[in-house]
Amino acid sequence: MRVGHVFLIAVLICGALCGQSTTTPPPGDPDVFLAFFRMYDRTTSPSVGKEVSPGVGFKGGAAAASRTGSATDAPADAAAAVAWQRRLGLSDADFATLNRWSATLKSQTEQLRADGSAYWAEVTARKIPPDQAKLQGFRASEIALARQAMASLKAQLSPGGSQALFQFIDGEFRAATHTAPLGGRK
Amino acid sequence: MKLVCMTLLPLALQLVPAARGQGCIDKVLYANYTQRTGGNTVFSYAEEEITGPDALTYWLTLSTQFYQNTTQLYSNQAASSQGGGGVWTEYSITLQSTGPGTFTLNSLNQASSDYCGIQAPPYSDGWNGYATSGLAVQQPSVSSASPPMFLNGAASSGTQTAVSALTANPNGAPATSTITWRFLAGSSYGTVTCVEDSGCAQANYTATAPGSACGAYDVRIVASFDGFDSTALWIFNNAPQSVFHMWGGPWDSTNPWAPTAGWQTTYTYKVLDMCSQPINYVQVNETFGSSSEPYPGGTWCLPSTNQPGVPDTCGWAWGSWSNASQFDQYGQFVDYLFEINKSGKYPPVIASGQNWFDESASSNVVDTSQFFYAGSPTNGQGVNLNALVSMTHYLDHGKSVQ
Repeated sequence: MRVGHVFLIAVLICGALCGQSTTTPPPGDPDVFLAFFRMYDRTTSPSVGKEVSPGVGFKGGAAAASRTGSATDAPADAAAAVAWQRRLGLSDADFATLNRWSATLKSQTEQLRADGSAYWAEVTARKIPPDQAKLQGFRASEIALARQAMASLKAQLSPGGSQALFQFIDGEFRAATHTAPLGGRK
Repeated sequence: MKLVCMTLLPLALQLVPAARGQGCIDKVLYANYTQRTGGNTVFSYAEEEITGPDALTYWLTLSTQFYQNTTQLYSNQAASSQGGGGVWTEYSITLQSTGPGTFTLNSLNQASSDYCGIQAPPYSDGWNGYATSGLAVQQPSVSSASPPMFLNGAASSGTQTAVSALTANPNGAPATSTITWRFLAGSSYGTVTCVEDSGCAQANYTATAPGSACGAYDVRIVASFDGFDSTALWIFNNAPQSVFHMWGGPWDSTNPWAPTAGWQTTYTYKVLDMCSQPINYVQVNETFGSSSEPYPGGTWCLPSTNQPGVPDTCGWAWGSWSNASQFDQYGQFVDYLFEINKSGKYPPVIASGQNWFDESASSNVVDTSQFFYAGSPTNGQGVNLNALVSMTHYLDHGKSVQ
């Protein structure tokens, strides 16, 4: 077998397998933090899917970029929210802080998404290549927003509440989260 | 395979500059998470999201199947529109409806982007990822420290108790679950009250009626965790039901009472439960019914005239066996029938071991009936043992017949 064949096989194998290598994000990953709040928001919102009886509730769909919310919004599905409060072991005060930040993050991230969607719609309509700096800017803003929220939440929650919340996010929830590089060419 | 990849990938990338990773640097983040959010709820959630500057250019699809054991309860296919935003699906299961089992969420995530040259499978450049999460849910259960004994009002008597301490075993339900107790059947046979200090993890069941028959588990109780019922605890309310004369004969022995002053006949009894099994031990008391005095002269005392626990001038008293020392290790207790020499009545002097045992009508001095109760030291209180005992005093001995 020639050396070239070996490379070719390696490339094919890695194209199929290495490109899909999956890892668990590291502790403190801002994307995991945002993912947790997306989950919290979605699961404490009213059902947007179907109800399947008996005993199976279902919610799901594509996240709407145009969702609205304010920083003082209380979770619409109070029972689900209280279940989270009990699950996370948060006091009422910490729970209120969590909900306030959930609404804030939702509002801010959805605004970012709305801006991004509008920009992409414009790019698509005009059939022009996207501005890389603009795309990088959306991403940078999202990460900055997450980092700021993490720091603020840690400061505003009680020590016990902060520990409980971030222990859950960085522990159990992070363990259920995976990330994989997609690669691709422009 | 991993080793081959790790060894050859850097070299391959050097030699094939157009391979993956050139240009688009985005990652896909996907979660698949199942947890118990409450005693009665299992929650599963899957999502897919692009993290990176080109997130706006992707389409995402998320296929999920939710299983209870090997049965698919539900499935869903979610797809995003291009321009940002992820896909997600949540399932929320009410355990009281579905029952216990192993719940599994399988998800297949796919991402594609024309802009990044990534097509959805089955195209060669496509990306997909599988994830799964699961949770085994056991049904809670209830255990009892001891079976209850109906005592007709008393919480306990002797070694017997009408109250059973119940424990709700969560079997995996969150400690924050709200626990409530309720009857599935037989609420007329008892009461159940939770122990507040335990957060209702413990409760007391009190038998307020005897069971319908020996071994009849009339009562079924469950502890509910946020609405998810435990397996039922079946309870049989046993109860004292009869007194049993231990030795088979009409009496055990008759002896002189203060040699020149009368006689004393001894009976040994034991209380039996609804299944005719001996009870060790339960407090017993007695009362007497109407009496007659057939003996000529009419100077012998009648038991119905006496106050409970207060011997009259003839020595009659309603008995109460309320101390452990009055019972032997088998729960047996002794009843004494006696007559003592008093003004107007003269039991014959008998020698120890000598008994005339004359049961002729002319020797009959007192006829009465005797009732036994169990579960209380107070005469006439407790469970009526349905033991109508005919009791006769003769000149030289006493005799009780059930």
